[in-house]
Amino acid sequence: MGGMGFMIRLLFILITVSGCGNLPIAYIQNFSEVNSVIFGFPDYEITQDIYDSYDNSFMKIRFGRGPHAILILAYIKDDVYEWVGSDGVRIFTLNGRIIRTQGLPHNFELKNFSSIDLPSSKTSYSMVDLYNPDLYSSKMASQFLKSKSMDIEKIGKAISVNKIYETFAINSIGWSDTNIYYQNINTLEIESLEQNIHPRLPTVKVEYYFKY
Amino acid sequence: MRLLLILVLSTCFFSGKSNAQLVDYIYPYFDQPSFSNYGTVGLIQMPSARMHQAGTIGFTWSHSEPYLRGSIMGNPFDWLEASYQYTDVNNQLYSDVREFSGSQSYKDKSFDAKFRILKERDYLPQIAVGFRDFGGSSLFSSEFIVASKLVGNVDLTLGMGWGTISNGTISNPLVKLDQRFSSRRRDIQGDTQGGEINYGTFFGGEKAGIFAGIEIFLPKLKGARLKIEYDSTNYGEDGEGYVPVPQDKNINYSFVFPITKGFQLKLGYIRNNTLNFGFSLSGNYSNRSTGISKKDPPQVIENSRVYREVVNAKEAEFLYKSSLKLLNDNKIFLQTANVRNNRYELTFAQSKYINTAQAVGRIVNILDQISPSVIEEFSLVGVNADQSMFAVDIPRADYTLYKKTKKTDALLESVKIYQPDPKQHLSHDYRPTTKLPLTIWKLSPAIRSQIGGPDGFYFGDISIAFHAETLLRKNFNILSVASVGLYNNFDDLKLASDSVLPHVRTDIVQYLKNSEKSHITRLQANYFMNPYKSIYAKVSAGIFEPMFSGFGGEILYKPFDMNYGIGLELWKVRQRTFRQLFRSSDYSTLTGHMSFYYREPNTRILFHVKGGRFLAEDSGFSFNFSREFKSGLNMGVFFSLTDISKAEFGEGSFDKGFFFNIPIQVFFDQYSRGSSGFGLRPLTRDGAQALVVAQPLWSTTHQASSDQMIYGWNGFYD
Repeated sequence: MGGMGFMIRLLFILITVSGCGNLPIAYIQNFSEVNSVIFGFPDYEITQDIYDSYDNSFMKIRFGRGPHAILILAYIKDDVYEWVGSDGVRIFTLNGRIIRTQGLPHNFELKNFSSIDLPSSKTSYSMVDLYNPDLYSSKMASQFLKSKSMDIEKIGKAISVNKIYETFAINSIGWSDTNIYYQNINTLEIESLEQNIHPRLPTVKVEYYFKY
Repeated sequence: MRLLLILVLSTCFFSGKSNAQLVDYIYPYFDQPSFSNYGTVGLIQMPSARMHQAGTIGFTWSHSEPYLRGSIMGNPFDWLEASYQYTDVNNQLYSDVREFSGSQSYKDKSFDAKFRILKERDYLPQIAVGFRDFGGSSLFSSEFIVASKLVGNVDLTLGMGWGTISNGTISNPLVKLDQRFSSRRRDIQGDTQGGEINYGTFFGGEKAGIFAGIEIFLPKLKGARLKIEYDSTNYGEDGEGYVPVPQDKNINYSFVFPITKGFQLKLGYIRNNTLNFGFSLSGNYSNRSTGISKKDPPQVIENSRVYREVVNAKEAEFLYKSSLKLLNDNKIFLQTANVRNNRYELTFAQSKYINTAQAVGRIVNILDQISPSVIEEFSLVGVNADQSMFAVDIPRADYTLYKKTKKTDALLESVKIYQPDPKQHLSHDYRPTTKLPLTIWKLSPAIRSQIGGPDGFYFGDISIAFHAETLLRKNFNILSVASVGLYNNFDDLKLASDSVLPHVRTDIVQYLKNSEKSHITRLQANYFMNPYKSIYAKVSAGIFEPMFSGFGGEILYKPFDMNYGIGLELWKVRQRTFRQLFRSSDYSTLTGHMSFYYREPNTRILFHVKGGRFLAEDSGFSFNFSREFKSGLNMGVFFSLTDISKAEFGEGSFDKGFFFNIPIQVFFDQYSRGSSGFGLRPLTRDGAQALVVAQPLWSTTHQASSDQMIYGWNGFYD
């Protein structure tokens, strides 16, 4: 998908930047502007300075190859964390997993779901509401698979995590995919994740930065 | 045909009845039509009556031997699809003279158009009439009337074709109306120069053809479709192309798979002997919220209460200075300011927001937060090149009242939009000085492409360009562009101009070849004036473009509350040498035009006609039609007719082309005023060529129109 996105962007730029020759005018474009369209927006690492500049816990979030955003932890109610962005986007998480969104072009809500620590042999079922277009109470089947542990790096420190795969399917609309959760071995908290929350949105990648 | 019927019935049966929302997920991109191999919306080889929405731009590429075809398509309206095709004809050499074109295959350029004449209803199909290759060499010249009806998840199409999409299965029904329709000889299509519109042959021929097909939306396959069609194309001696193409069966198949809403891949099997594949890329750029959502909301000013109630309540001077600073942070430049009778008057310039109403909204958002409570009204005047463009008076109470609900229509009723007095701001108390001269510059790469000549399919170069704008006074600037080539493959370009007119454009190959060295594209000084309301003037001198330098001026009468403008321009120019530095060649001329502009307020079509003398000293008219969308997307076509003969003009017969400009901000999360353009002339000739002068008055006074402000007003609170 990433390669395909690159191709689309590249084609578009070639079409628009290079005016087809017979006109005497060259169509000139600022390459720095074009760069992120072709290659996606650059990743950046949360450094100690950036981490220290925030008073509250925050998440770094990115949809597909889009630009990054920082959402601040605003409320905690019944173990549900509400993260708020400057443009009205709200992400609700429970035990690190995104369970509801507001303010996105396509939102979703997950209901009656089970823990990601479920044994891999067992299929769990939950209900999903999808918005724009609206589709309520679709049955989602999930299976979790925990792979061997690995290390990830955050603010210059190595963290040992379990990589947990969730394969899910909503058969009524033919949507299936795989989510990945990186669970801290020691604290059992989710450190980061790659979750598919809506069939019309690219995979969302989240890194959590907590301040206790 | 039996197979088609079985497929239709079976897919309808299996699709069952679903609620609308479920269908949206089971058949994603249901509303996104797919493209035919001809680069227009359709079936496989055959057209359909489907259309994209207005404001859509698409690019397609397909390969089905012996044709390799690229196409650019635009929908200026919901009812009109216009496209340009570029076809590599692999079974025909570019020229019979091998010494001229070597083994280069023939390249055909053509225009297509399709008009929707009936929109689909519950029990009625959508009907369209279309023309293929109506202004080119007529290799693919055809016309059709076609109907499409969606039944369940199957789109059914049935049509009648003339010309190359008629395999002659039925008599032409139009012959009964008029005997003139009975004739369609290829040698009367256009003239020997090509490029003429073949009115005389439209819907002509003793026979016509019937075509049909289905497009089946496959459930739960991410929007994939299967297309099957009965192909009525005449692949024979008197059919499409130069050389007959074998057709084993007249049923074609294709599978279309959308990667995203606008990006589709396709794989097909046509004529029962040829594999066909391709892709299409399309997007709709019509809405103001088109593209990436912006992470650039109206600013919330920290400690605004301190500004409002403590600092700025003391002295107007503090209000002016805080306005200057905070607006500057938002790339809006305060020019003058004045507080008078509870009214805050402010003059500004900005180059960030395409929508002027949005810029005004951003300013009021800041002023409302920092102005003391005694201020009851904001009066803003926009300027460009020190010329007053518009004035807007906004009652503060109404602004606040509708801010939360963003009721821009209600706010508009209490707002006054009018043409300002050009000298009014000179009486303002606060007039910060700008340190001049001021130079803004950037370095950027530039790519140029030359496609489809006899010397090769693609020629291009990449160069580094230095762009600068130096402000000597607020109404006096110098624009400069200098470039140095990094890479090109122009050495293989050999085609010399055969034009009998002065070579004002056709020596482009020489200019391209010399651009690998450092060269100057523009060095143009402009002095702008706004002597009276509605009258704008400019004098310019220097290097205007790669091929001409000189001096001259322009004057424009543009009444603020009207939708028209009248312009006059006159230039004394001399042709530059191919080296593109400061030397000139012997050719010089006087060129000038009178222009009439009219923007139709409902459709936003700008009609621009200019008459006068062109660079090659031919006289005539140039017509330009373009449509502007809320997003800033602009697309249009142009053609010119002058007093030279078709023979003098050469291949193409008359100058014509199309263009579109997409605002760059649709691809980014910040607002900006830049745009990326694409323009195309099928051929470069010397007739009807106008001088290209940067910063024409119609563009620099774009904001000087009440209609323009009202059109963008619903973006006021964005």
